[in-house]
Amino acid sequence: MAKLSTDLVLNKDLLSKLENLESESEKIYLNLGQRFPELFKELEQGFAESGQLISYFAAGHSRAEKLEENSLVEEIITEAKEVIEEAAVFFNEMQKRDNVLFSSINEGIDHLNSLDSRIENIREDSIEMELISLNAMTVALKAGLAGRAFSYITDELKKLSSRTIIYTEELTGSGASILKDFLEFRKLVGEIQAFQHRFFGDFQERLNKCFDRYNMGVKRLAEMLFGVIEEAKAVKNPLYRIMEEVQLQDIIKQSLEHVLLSLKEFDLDPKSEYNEHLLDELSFVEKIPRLCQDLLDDISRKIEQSRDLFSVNLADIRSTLRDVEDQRGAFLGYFTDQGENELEGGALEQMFAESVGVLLELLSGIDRSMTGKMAIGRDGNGIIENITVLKTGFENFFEIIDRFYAIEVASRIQVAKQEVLKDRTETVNEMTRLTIRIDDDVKEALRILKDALSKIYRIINKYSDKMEMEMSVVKETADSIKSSYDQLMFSKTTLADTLKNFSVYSERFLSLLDASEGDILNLGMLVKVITEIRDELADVQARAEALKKEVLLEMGLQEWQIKDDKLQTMIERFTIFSHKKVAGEIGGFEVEEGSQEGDLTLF
Amino acid sequence: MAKKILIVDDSSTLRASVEFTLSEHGHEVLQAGDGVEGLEVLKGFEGKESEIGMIIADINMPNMDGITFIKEVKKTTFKFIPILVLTTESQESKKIEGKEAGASGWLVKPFKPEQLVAVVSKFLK
Repeated sequence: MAKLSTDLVLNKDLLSKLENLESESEKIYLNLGQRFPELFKELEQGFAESGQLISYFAAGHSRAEKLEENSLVEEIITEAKEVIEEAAVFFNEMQKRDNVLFSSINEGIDHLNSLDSRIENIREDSIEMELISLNAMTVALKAGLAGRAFSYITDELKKLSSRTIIYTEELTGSGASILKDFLEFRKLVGEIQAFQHRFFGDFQERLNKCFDRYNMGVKRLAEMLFGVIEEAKAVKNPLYRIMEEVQLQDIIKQSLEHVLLSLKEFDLDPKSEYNEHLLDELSFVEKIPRLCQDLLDDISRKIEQSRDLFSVNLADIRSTLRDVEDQRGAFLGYFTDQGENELEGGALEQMFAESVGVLLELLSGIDRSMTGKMAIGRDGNGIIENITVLKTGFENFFEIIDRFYAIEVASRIQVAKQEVLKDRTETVNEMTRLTIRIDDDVKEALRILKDALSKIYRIINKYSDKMEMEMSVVKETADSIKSSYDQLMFSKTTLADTLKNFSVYSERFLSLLDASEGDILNLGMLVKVITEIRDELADVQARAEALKKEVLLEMGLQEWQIKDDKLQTMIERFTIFSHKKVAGEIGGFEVEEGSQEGDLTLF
Repeated sequence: MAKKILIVDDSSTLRASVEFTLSEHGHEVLQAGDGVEGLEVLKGFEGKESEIGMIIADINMPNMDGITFIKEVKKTTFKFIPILVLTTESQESKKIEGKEAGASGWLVKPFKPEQLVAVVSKFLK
């Protein structure tokens, strides 16, 4: 019995390596197969959440309609506009009331101007009365004893006239002071009126313009962020391609099973005799490593193809992630004005600052207007007090007038009684005429003052009453505007935070992606193991060929054609047509034709 | 209510890939690892057979192969449900075997997602 010069037994580790390879490849592909649907789920959730977040700010956006009907910014701006609309109506009414006050003040000034001429009349008449008294006094002195009483009367008249002159000068001073106060009052009211007209006249338009610009800016930003989401969806295609490739594991597994199946047929008795059967066996076993090598090459190619496809597509995903992150950064710039590009009309923060600036200006304007109104009330009351004092002054005049009348009566008696004074009748008549004129002027001045006082008193009182109501409404309006301001600040802060943290890819998505990259690296390890197995099989093949040569030499033969169909029988258990074909080529036999991968037959 | 699709295959990655492809197109997918499990899943739908729209089955599986599975299905109340064979086997003799067992179609692995979706839509009509 011949003995083979060398053993041709397979290293058991080889089979273990192949079995490990099968389970490892299944594990890696299965990991990918399980992670990628998860990645998709995370992705869809991320898209939906970020979409909702954006539409929270931008109502009416075509893509947002399905998510949220009302936006935060739109709601806040609508409310603020309503507040401003109400404020505008109120301030308009307030201005109308102020206009009434202004025209009443003008009327009051006209009245006080006419008072001045009355006082002047009284003063002139008093001077004339003084002259008359001096003339009469001269006559009385000339009349001697007969004119003594008359002399006393004319002295009294002179004193009274002098007092009247001084008094009218005092009243003139008081009247002029009141007039001056009144003119200043009118100036104050006029200034406040002009300020209100200028300020409240266009603030609504200005504010609405700012609000609209801010709202449009937010919407434009939302459009951009929706654009980011659309861009982010670009990762879907690489994910689809990876998922499509994952099914290759099924084919790799079957291929490895073919290798295992072939190697398990590797069964050579080391004690075999040199005969035809041994040559048949050696011819079979020398083909097995080659077949297995070809199959392993195919598996290796497929794994490398998978690895490359996974790597390329993961690189595409990473590239999309970077692009999306870059865009997000740029849009942060749109908000803060730090980016290279700007939204039409400037950065959103600037638009917001404009809106807030006008709101603050409005609050300051309201404050200024109210301070002015309080000054009007205060000054108005001061004027009323001064007019009341002036009125009292004129009322005191009646005592003087009574004295004039008394002197006039006494004079008339003396002229009638004393013959020497008879030619003084005309002087007394003149005294009477002047006394009546002074009386009339004082009465007229008093009437004017009473009129003015009553009118101004009524207006100032009405104004003060209205002012109390206005102050209360203005306070409410100012509170509402402050609330709108706070709301806008809230919208801005929320928007800034959203932008800062805006991400369409969740943390879980990114961590799943990292893990997938680890799996892909492991595919490279599989290829390395396949190369090691392939090298071992090359060694086995070399030993088989050497043994066959040894047996052929011993049997005196040059070559041997395999006589049995062990290989054909074995490949019947192969499930992949291309592998059968390879075996046919190695074994030199025909195999039944099969269709290509992806071929569909409908029965 | 959308009809369910049962995928019977011993490769969990293949099942995951099929489920992903079909669920992305709005189909609900049920899974079984071999013919025996496949029959058990179907048993759970006895009396509500119409809920199952189609079956996709591999041929080479442990415990019960695809051909036996198809033959067994054809003996049940699910016999009218179309069965698409999804396998690496591509030889004509195998296809004839499948057709005789009662399969409605034969698709050689690996599949293109759009192709699978098109076949499923055709069978579900």
